[in-house]
Amino acid sequence: MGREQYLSVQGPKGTATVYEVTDDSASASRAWEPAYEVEFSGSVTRYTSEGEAITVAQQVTGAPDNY
Amino acid sequence: MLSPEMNDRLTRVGPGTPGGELMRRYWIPIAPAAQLLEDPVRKIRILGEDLTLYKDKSGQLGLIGERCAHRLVDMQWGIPDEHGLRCPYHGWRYDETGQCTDTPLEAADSSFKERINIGGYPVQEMGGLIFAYMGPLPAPLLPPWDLFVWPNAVRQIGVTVIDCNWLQCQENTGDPTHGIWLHGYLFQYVLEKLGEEQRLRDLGDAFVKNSVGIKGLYANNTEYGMEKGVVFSKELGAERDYRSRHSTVIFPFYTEQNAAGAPWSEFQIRVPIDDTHTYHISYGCYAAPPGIEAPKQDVIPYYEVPIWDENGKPVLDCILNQDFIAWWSQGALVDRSKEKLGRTDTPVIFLRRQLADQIKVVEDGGEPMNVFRDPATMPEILFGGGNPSNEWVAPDWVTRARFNGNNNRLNYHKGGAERESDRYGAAVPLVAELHRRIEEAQKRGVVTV
Repeated sequence: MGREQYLSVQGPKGTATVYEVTDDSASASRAWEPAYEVEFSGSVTRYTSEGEAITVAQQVTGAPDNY
Repeated sequence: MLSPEMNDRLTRVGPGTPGGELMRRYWIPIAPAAQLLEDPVRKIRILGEDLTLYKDKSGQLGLIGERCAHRLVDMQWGIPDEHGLRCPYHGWRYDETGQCTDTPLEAADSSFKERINIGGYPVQEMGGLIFAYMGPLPAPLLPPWDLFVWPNAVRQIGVTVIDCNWLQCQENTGDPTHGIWLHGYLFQYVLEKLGEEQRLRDLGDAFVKNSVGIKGLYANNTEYGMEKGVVFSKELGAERDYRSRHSTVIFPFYTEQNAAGAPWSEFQIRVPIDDTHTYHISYGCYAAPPGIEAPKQDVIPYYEVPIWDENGKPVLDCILNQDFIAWWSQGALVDRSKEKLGRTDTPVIFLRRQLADQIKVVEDGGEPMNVFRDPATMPEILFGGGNPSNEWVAPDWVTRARFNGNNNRLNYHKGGAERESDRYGAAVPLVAELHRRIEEAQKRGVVTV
């Protein structure tokens, strides 16, 4: 399982980190099907879409709705 | 989501931009050759550069600077000479390299012309299209992508200028599920409004049924670009567990629907005119099955696909036009820092990364993918979408028909060519003639369905 930092979102309530998670095991097909995780205040939540993960990161940190 | 900086990097195509430098490593289709039969001199804007395309009386093609060096007259009004193009104002003549070769009203012993060059780019013709190469020399080989050179087929070329950035058009190919709504529910809505009941029945649930059982989307690299599709799950309501492959991307700006040998296949080519305009080419190829001779074409005809009807309303009763309106309505150059990508956009992200990676390759002094230089290893036909499926090129028409019969867009026996944007094309009667020959052969038992 590969997990790379994708984005860091800073807002008045703190910093959330978005990770992109991919299955890079030998048995996995060569197709790319990533998921995204949001880490904030010690908890990690997984999402299937990039947009939802970033939106959550923005909302939990109180960051503005842009990159 | 892309940062504004990355968005610029991927989308802008002018000289000196990262994306523009990548684009300048490729042969770019700039016009149907048939256009030069109507008028041998044309103004062309490509990658943000204004140029003049011409064919001289000897048949030599040229793509040279926009204006005569003398008094800056627009060369689109030039006069083709035996060798080169003359400015209409005072007759200065330029060859295909942009070199001035004659200044008829200057002194006979003047060497003025030798000091004048307005620039020129190499051009070549293949499959009824004229291609330009605008990058560093020497130019690479012009790739014989399959639909351009597949034998025994009818072809036609649909062209449209769309007022938006090229990447918006190309990202459509990285988006396999848009068809459920754009070509499904919207199509049904449009046909209902038009009162086209028969077409509505024929359309049926061809697209909307794909909304059921989606587990996820996938993307992966191919030798020449990328492929992607939808993973369907029986557990989630699909008929079975399977992966549905969508059209293929041939890097950087081709989409291939089906493949050479299919009853209908198409390149959709998204050529950047500049940062906010795209020259869209729908290159249709209608292959004859084994044992049938396709009607001959002396010239591959072109046609303009209208975006708007006579009342200024968008034409929405065919698939390609539905796409056009979606891309155009995103804006001239969409700000991707404001988008919210869903799970269906996984292949879009993949497509952007492939583009970003190749831009970096060029920046680092390397050769990007799909640049070919060795004639000895270049095949006569390059299957950009991968080797064609047996279902598409099977020697028996039964196998092909089985594949093509389950898709309303591909089944031209049911009138697809007349109903899609292909209907605007001059080759539609030839496609009908091809199908008449097939049916006749079926009756004679030469081919069986």
